[in-house]
Amino acid sequence: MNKHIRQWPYALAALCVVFAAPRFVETNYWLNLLNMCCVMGIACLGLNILLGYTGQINLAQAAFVGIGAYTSALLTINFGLPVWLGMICGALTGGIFGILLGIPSLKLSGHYLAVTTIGFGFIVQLVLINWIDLTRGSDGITQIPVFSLFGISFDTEERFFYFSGTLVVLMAWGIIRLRDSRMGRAMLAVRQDEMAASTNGIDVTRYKIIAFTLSSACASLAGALFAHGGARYISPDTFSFEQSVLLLAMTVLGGDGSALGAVLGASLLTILPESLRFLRESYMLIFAAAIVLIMIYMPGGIANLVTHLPPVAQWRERRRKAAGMELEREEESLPPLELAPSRDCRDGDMLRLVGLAMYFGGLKAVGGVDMLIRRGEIHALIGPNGSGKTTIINVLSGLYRPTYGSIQLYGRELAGSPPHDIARLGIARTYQNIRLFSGMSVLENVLVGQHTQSRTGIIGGVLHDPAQRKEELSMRRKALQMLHFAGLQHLENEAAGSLPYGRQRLLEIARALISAPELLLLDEPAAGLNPAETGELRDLLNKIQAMGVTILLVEHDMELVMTVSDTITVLNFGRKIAEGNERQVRAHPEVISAYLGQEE
Amino acid sequence: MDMTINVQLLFSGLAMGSIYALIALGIVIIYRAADVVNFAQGELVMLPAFIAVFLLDTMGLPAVAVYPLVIICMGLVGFIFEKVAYYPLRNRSFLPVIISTIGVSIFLKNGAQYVFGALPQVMPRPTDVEVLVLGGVIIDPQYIIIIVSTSLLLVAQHFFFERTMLGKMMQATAQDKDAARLMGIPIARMIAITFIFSTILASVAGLLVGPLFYVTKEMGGMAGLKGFCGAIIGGFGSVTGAILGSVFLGVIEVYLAFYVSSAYRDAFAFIIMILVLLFRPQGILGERIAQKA
Repeated sequence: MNKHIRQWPYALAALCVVFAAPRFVETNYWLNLLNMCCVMGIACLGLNILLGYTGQINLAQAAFVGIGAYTSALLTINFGLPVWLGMICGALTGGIFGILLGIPSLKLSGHYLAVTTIGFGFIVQLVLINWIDLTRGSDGITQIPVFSLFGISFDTEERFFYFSGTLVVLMAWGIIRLRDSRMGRAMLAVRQDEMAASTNGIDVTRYKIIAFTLSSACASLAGALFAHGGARYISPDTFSFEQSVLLLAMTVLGGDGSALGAVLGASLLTILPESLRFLRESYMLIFAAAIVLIMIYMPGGIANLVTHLPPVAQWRERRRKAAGMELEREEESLPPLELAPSRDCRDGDMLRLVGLAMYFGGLKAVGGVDMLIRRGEIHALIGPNGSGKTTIINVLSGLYRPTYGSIQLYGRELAGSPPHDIARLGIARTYQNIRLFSGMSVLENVLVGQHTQSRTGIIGGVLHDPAQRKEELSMRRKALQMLHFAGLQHLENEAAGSLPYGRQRLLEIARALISAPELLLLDEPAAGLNPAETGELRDLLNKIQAMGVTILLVEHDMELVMTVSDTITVLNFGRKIAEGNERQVRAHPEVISAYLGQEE
Repeated sequence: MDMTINVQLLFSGLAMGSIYALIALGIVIIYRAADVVNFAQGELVMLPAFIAVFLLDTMGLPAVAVYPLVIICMGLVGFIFEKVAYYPLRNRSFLPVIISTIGVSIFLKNGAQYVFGALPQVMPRPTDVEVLVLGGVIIDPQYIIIIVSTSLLLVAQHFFFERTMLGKMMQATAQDKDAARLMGIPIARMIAITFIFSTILASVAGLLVGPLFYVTKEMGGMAGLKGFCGAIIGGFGSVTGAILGSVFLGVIEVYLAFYVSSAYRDAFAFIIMILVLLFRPQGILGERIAQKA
């Protein structure tokens, strides 16, 4: 979050560098190389969205560069389309193929996705070689029209560089902005923890597809740029698997999720091999060895290296402190938090489970449980280990589809709905073994929690238009109020994963609570807390209840359960054995035997 | 349709399938032991072919000496490979390892070209028999050698994993590292041995396939990827699945190349794999792979 840090002066400075660079570069050879840096940089900016933000791999980025190059070249040659229109069509075509490649990513991750994308890349290359009527085969396409806009013909290396350099700066700026927006945070959340992202209302499928589409469109735009600039010649062997690997290596070298790093990485790995040419045959050897060494010794890439340089690190620390101070001032000026979870006044029967059963293969984790949660109560769900408590939470939040039975929220059937829809309908949760977006800041975590209540899309995220700013500001305010409420004030800029354990628990509750849920599912919130922290938690639960949020509490700490709960349901071996208030449950014979063991 | 052609195609498919199976098996056992996919497996097929040509032609050594020598060399390569490309990255996510193994694959390709030259080379055949005629069907004897050697090797490796202490220790490492460690099994050494074993499987594939085609730096890359495809089609992570999937892939690829299109030969493996991943992600055998955190 650096809303108050102005970014445009940096963008302007970068543009000045672009326009000054040709003064210092003597030959067309070097200008041509700079143009290649721009092409690679744009393709890597795309990968940065996909890999750096969303955590998905693509080893076919060069194929998308090829799709863009061929689409634009063929449209302008065969149909006489103006070049700018051809380039836009190229980028769109790449985006459409990106959706296609994104579909497998919904089911696959890691290695499977990697090899699927490799296969896609090879297929594209084979089509480029063999569909001779369309693509002219291995000979490639020559005499591709030159790019011109508003009557200016970008026919020299220098002119073309002004255009491509400007494009790189603007795109990098936009993509950096995207990171600090609702969309960008959702992508980062997907990368850090898909499950937690989905139960916070993020449609993981959608964001993966969006990331693939944007990434591919960037690559194809880079391809179109490549086709109409420089040699104005393209052939299938340029868009090879090796080139895809190179693009990926550039992005990783640049740094995890840093747009600036991606451009730097692209430039470095474009210029470096050229300056190694004097090594002749062995240059590829050195280059390959360098890739391995970079993976081993530079895990955070250039971006990480730069941010750890003492002056940069000091500057960042100062900036972070200043931002923290400002947040504190802002926080102090804000009124206390108010949540309005109940969208309308409905009757007291909130959530009804009817015959809910969940089998895993032959194992009956939950076998036909009926339960009613009334509005405004703290309803505890207790039972020995393996009695099915967490399974019920997982079913309620949509992570599992129940084998039998129904779940009704105010009469509306939830069974079978995906987690993000359930989150949207007002059921939020925490996890037994904390699932924060640990690489993101405390504030960002709570901002992601507001995903369902905000609406800014990609365009708003890139442009930071007034509507987006207004929404961002109100989300920030609410986030600060929430952190204050949960006792996490002054920690806004810390990385969530660096908080002490007890604070992480509180943060997870804050993240769930900020979506103003009807029902908050807490899975063992007191686990691992010391007595003082448990006391704080008890106060927090009472405060949450007072705000009108209903709580389903799974917990082993009996003292906590007995003091806060209005109703207690006891499970054993996936069945409900008792239900009632504290006194009724304590006296129930089956509960005593389940907890203390039965006398034979 | 001519029956003879179909039988010839079948043999050629079974031979290619056997090669894919050896590669797939190597990929799968590394995956099971170390949880990484080795994208340089194909280059571990290419390298032994070059070394064998060098020893047979340039050094003039007899074949009986060359094959064991190549296997020993490649065992060493496997050991170094593990120490360089995997071990330093063992605690990181899959991505750096993927890129690092791809880096090694580029290194080995260009290294082979640097040392052995850019020209395609011919690997001498182990027999002087030009062709076999079986009931009117003409078959390349190398196909038979490939199919028989692979079958023998697969049976041998089965006994190695099921009957020997070392094999069982490697299996234990693959199944549950923590439990294996508690049993006193040296995990790091087992993983190193797995890499060596996997490299040797790939080298046998290289020695077997070498005489069929020219030996070039590119000969392994596509075969490596197809081995991976075969393993996925069979059910990734399963040894039997890897073998069945690869043989299936080898056979169907030959028929598709002959009857549908030879230009798109290399695309079929990927198309089949993508279809399998989308519609039956657990493969022919094997467990569900769609990872749900």
